[in-house]
Amino acid sequence: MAALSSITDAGLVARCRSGDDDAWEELVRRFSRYVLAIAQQAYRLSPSDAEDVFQDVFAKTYERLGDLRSDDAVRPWIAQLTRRLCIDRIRAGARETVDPEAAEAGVDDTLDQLDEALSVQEALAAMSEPCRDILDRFFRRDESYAVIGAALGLPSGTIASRISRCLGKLRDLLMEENAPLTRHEE
Amino acid sequence: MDHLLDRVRSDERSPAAGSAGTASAALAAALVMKAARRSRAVWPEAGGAIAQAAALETRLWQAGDELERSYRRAVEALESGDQADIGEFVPAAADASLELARIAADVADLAVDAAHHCDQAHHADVTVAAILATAAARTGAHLVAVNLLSRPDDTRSSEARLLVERSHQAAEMLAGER
Repeated sequence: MAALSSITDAGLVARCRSGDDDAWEELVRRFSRYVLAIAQQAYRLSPSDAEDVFQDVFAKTYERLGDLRSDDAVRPWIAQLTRRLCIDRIRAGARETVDPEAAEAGVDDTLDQLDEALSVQEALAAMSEPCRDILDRFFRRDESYAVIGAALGLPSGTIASRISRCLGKLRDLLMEENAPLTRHEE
Repeated sequence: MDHLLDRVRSDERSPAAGSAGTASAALAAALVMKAARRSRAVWPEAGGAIAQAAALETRLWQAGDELERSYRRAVEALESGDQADIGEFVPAAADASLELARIAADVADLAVDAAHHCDQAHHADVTVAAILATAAARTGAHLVAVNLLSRPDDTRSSEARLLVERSHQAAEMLAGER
């Protein structure tokens, strides 16, 4: 599973198409939080409705992966599938006719934020452990330079510089990830 | 800033010293950001310093809010004379003050990093950032001492003194470079 967690989305889809059960497991693991976040944050579904959507999304992904035209595009494809199933769920639970525009209000912005978060998460996963650790300590755990320095056995005066270097690497990884998309769009 | 000044100069009990110290450190972080933003051409990792300064500024305002909240509770406890409340809320105000000193010391460290990489036309800006951060660290340390009711043997007092010393050394070093 370690090798699968580091392969690209396209590589993972190819393995799924070939009937690799471990790849299917990794696909669900990789996109599960994304699907739940769309359902709960963008469409504000209840946890139980979001769980139903989650099950539907991955059941349909399993059935229809053959319809996916570009293996690179699995994330937007899953996002679109999730959106459609969320709308269906809202309609099914509504006593009155649901206005699709109202249901979709703000969804694009939330989805952009989720996509960005997922890209950062993927880039972080591709970084070296020391960089991932120092960025996690400073930005997520809000640790001070002194605490980080003590934990890593480094002088606190060097921590700011190390964080900047790691952020530079993260930026490069994100730009690499976006480059093929930009070329494709051109 | 105008809003904060209006509130500080008012006859309300708070915001007061803690918020003044917080604003000083936030200005320091803003100066580091400015120097980094204007140094992208000569400093490839300027974006990293900008992100850190922004994160520290966010932490500062959160710490400042907590400092004012804990200060109000501590004063109310002292006025009520309730020993249980005094025992709970006065040390909490010391903790919040120490957090201000910690973040301010980090801003001073970040100013040093910026001074050594940024366009040197902005060396004075980041030196002043370190000076302002030192003032904020000293503010935090003083409030720690006040809220611990003059117990210099408490570990928070000694940590606060070290933070002031670290910030002071940063500011002195940068001031000595020009």
